[in-house]
Amino acid sequence: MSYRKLSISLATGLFVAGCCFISTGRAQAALTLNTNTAASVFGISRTASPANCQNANCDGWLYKDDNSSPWVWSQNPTSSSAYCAQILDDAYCNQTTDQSNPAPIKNLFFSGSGNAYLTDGKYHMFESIGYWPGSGGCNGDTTWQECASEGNGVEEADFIISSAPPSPSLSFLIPENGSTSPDFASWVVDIENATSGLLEIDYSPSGNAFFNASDSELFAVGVSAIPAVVPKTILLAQLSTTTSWAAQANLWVNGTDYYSSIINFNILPSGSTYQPTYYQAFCSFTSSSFLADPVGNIQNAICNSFAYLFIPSPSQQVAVSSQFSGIKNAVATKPPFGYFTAIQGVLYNASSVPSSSLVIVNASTAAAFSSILSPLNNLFSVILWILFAFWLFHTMRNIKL
Amino acid sequence: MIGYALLEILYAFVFALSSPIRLLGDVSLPANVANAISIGNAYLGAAAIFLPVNTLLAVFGSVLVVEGFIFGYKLVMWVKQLFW
Repeated sequence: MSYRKLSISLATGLFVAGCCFISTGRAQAALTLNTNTAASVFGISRTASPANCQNANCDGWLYKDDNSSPWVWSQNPTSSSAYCAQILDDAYCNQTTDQSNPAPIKNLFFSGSGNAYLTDGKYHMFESIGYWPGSGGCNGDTTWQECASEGNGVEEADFIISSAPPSPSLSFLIPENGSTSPDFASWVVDIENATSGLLEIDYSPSGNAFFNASDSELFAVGVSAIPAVVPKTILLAQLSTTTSWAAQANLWVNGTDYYSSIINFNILPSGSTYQPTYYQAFCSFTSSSFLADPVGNIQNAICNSFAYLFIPSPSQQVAVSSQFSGIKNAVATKPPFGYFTAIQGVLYNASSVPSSSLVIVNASTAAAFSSILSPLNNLFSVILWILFAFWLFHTMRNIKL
Repeated sequence: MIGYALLEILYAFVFALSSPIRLLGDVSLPANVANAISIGNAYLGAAAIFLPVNTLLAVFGSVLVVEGFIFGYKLVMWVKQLFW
């Protein structure tokens, strides 16, 4: 594992942990807990204990010891008469017509001995502190006989246990397989069943045995837009000898690579204009039912409103991009900018100059002495920048405007 | 909607600002100059194994930018002094 991937893995882990922490708020969207999740604890806690509760700490929580162990539901009551945090089977909640009565707790209530191992499924967890059950249950609006005052902590939450999380699926939107187009600024990849990880695009001229160029971007679920946009670092149009390219996307998640199919595409060598890619805001409703998550849905409604006001639509972005691109192209050939463009063109097309007679050190010698020449090259670079810094300091100190 | 309108206003501003430049004719390098740059680039490329040519060009460009900025400022001040 490279250091880069290791550091990205740690960053992703922290991000996911942060998401899990945030997701423990009231009435959040369902949180998926799978066996790939690291050792963690998720649950209902009370930091203050009301005086008339039987238990000093009436908590309920899920925990798992390591990556492969199952999630376990556990509670902290010392008396079987106390109803603390409980889990309802969501399937029962969907079937029952009487939402006012508490649903049975299907092998999930901890009554003083043993723990309950959760199988795959969707669950509803809620706080139900008190001596006896009253009304309430699946709808989350608990009216159980509660203690006089509540402590701080989560009151209810939905979660999903999934032992086999769906694998991410990647496909290219830009460029399209088999397409012929001008050069483009960024790769655009659609990701289904997105998971946070390192998104990498590998590419090379068609027919190569392996990919010899790559661009990458950290992809974070909930932060990065879908489709994902990865800036392309090589101007393919200026490599006039190659017009046919092959590319493959892969998402690296905790040591596992998920690949797209390999695409082949053609770049017009004379087309130096970028095909604009569009930006999309990441606003999506957290639940199909407004009442299931009113806060989250209102947040996303506001997000959508701002996106409509301030982010141009894809067609508008294409129109504006082509307008600015037109000005840039028109000015690029006019003085004084045209001289720089011309010099740049000469430098890129220098291959017409015979260079065999100009070789100072041949390839085999360079390889043999690379351990000496490479540090020497770096040393000269450092010296040059230090000299520039001294020159700049001297110039600024003695400047007379 | 608002973002698009702002971008259109910005485009109109840049379009108007660049009008004098766009009216000028296209430029091209004389063949001898282009040839000289190509040969110079080839020599520099041959020395790149031990000389940091990219750094050299970047530092040279940075010096030009600083000097150009100072010269431009002095030029503007001189013009301003003539009329005001």
